[in-house]
Amino acid sequence: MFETIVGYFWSVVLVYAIAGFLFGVPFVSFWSRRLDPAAHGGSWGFRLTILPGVVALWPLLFVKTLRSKSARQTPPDTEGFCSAGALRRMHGAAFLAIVVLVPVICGAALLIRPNEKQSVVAQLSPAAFAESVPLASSRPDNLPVEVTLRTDGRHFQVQLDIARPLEEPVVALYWSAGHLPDGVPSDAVFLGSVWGPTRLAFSLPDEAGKTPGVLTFIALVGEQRVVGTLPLNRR
Amino acid sequence: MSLAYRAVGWNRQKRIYDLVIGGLLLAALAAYSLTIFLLEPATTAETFVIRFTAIAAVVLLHVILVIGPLARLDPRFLPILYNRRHLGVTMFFLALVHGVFAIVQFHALGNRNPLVSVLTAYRHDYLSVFSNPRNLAHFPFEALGLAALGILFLMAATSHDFWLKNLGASLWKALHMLVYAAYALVLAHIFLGALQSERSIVFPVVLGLGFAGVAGLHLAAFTKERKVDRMRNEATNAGFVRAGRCADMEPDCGKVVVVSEERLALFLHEGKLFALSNVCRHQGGPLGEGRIVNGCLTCPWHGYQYRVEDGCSPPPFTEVVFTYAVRVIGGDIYVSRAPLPLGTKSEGAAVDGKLTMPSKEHPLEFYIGWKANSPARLGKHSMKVVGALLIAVPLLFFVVARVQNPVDSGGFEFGVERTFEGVLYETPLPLLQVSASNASAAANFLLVGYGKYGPPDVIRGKNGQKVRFSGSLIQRNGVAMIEMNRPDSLEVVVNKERPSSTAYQVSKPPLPVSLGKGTFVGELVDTKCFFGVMRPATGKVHRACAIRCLSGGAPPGLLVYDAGGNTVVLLLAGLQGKKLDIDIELAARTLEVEGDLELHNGMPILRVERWRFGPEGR
Repeated sequence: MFETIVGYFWSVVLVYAIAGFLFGVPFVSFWSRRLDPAAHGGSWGFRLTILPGVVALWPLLFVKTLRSKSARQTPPDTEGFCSAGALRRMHGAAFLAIVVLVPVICGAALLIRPNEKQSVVAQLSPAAFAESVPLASSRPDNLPVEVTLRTDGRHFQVQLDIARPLEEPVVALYWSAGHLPDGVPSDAVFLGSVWGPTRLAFSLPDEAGKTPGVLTFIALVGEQRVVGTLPLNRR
Repeated sequence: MSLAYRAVGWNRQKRIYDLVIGGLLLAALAAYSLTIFLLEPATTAETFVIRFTAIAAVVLLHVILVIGPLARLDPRFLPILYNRRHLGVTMFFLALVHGVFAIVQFHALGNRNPLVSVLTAYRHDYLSVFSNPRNLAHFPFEALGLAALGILFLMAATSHDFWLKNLGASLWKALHMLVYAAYALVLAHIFLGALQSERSIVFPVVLGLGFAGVAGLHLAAFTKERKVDRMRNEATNAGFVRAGRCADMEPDCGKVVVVSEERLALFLHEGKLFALSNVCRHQGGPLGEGRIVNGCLTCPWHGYQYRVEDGCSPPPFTEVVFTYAVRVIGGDIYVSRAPLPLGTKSEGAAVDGKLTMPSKEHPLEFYIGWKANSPARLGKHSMKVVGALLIAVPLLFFVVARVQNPVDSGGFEFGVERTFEGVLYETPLPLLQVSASNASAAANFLLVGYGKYGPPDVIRGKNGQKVRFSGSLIQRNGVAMIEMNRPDSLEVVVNKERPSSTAYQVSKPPLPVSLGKGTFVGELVDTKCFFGVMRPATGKVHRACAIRCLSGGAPPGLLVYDAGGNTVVLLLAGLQGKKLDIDIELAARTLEVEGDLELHNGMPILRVERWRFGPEGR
């Protein structure tokens, strides 16, 4: 309902603006001189400058143009400003309202802005094991990644310190048991996505503690290809 | 004072004025862009434009509002008043660029007309303040900005002298006094919008100082003016009111006096006293604070001129002000209560020759904007002001850029198309599972559509099939998403080993790992923006965009943190076999969501059982 009303509102604005434009073009071209002799001979820059205002206020100008029979009969410019005192009173009232309203609204907006703590979901933490120790560090060729094998005595984890953004848009990290394979073996375990620059940590399968393994970085987007490998040894 | 209108009646002072405006804006742009480039290089061009134009427009609005009272309090600031309308038009264009970019960025390419969306995206919060005053924080601030922009448009569009003359001075002035309403709307727009997310104390302090400056200067000017109004002259002589003493008059310098509650301008010119209305026909400038230049009374604001004898501007100009009859009785000046008919020539009142005219050196040179050069001392003062602004404005922009919230991270390969191939799943969320050849596990790519939409309909019915299509990559912190901006490129990959089969029929999606049931408090976000399309992608300023994206079908998420302090999005899905039921108008609000947390191939999905407002309630 509200959306419909707002839709109608914009439609009315559009129709009003189109009507204003249709009135505005001949007004700035010819009729403005009937209203104001100084518009006669006005530059095209002037006509373009007043066009947006004509579009906005066209009913007023339409009435004024109709009332003004011809440029020769344009009444002299006799309307003065409302009295300076009245002007100042209007000025004062407007500003007084603002001096009161603005601090109230803005102060309230600051006081009540939400400050709710968001949950910490520990299960999703890629952080290193609390008591883990580094076992070995090395880095794959062609990748700005420092890989550290860590353990807390029972489980194993790889920590990746990535120095800068990777060239490939999406890089997946796999672990597979054994020695350097040709491609990715069918039993490779997906550890997660790699991006940078950041520090990431991934848990390794339990068997990683018993057998040597290999980390394989694969670009998944476009032509899938291995972008880096790293044997993972405890020493 | 040209006879035929021009777009701008250029003169040297106006050119200098505009060069200073341009120079200050360039200095501000340099300071802001350098700081952003060094500190927040991930800022997108759209966000940069939205933020810079907003700050610049607000700074200019404050400058515009203080010029008037500054010039009333200290005439040395009159040169800054001279071409204030160019400052106003510049400010309007900055605000317009801000508004257009914000509407396009946050409302376009969605399932509603952007102009409708800007007023209705979270329409229930227009009135929710009445159910709980705290809901003021959720008020649709965009409507306030739009209203302010409308006022600024009216003011900019009617700033030409044509309007002053043809609307009539009273209506024109009343229209332009709406600047105070626009100022209030702009401040409310900022405090209920950006400052709901920006936490630096610098913003409220700077804006508070700005407001105090504007209010304080207006009050000071008002107090000064009131003192003038209180100097009422009551003594009368045959219908004439005493207006002052001849001894207080200086040759060719004006003096403002109050007669019958009206301010008049007294002038002593060539040994005669003249009285005229104090209100300039141009913009209401105080003629009594002007000077006689080239035989004409000259307004201190814009240099409009009138002959003191009849109040008429010298030909070919047509402006006329009222004149008053003057008498000198015993060294006192008396002025008629009623003005003479417009254009009536007054003989003036000869000053008694025995009086000694004080020959004071004028304390200040008189500035006339249309003259090629401004007086030396005023010029020096203006240079000092410009110099101070050249230091203060870039410094302000540097500080603001320094303390602004960092933009969200993530990347969107806008305009870059890549080919993706993998197994498509429709549930629990539309995603493409891409695996390296033969690997046992795969990476998930969430799927969304172009603009502020979810995945296109072409994926329907292809659950579990291997497909190939083109799209653009979105990714943040290891979570990847594909914008399917070319749905027609989708094709099912035919199994060559079983040509009779229409497609690979892949086994069921990998079983999720359950992480248990839990209650999580976080911000409801649209994942398309959060994973990289939009920066910022969270908070009140992005709320309408999030609503558009969610209503268009982008996957919703709950923004929480992991133990390392990193932001993590829990993707929200319905319970098994049920559709997710969540009020998308609450995007960017903090919610408390209860449900089962699962890991789908490393992707956390929260199956929502129930939700309610966060701890602070509705």
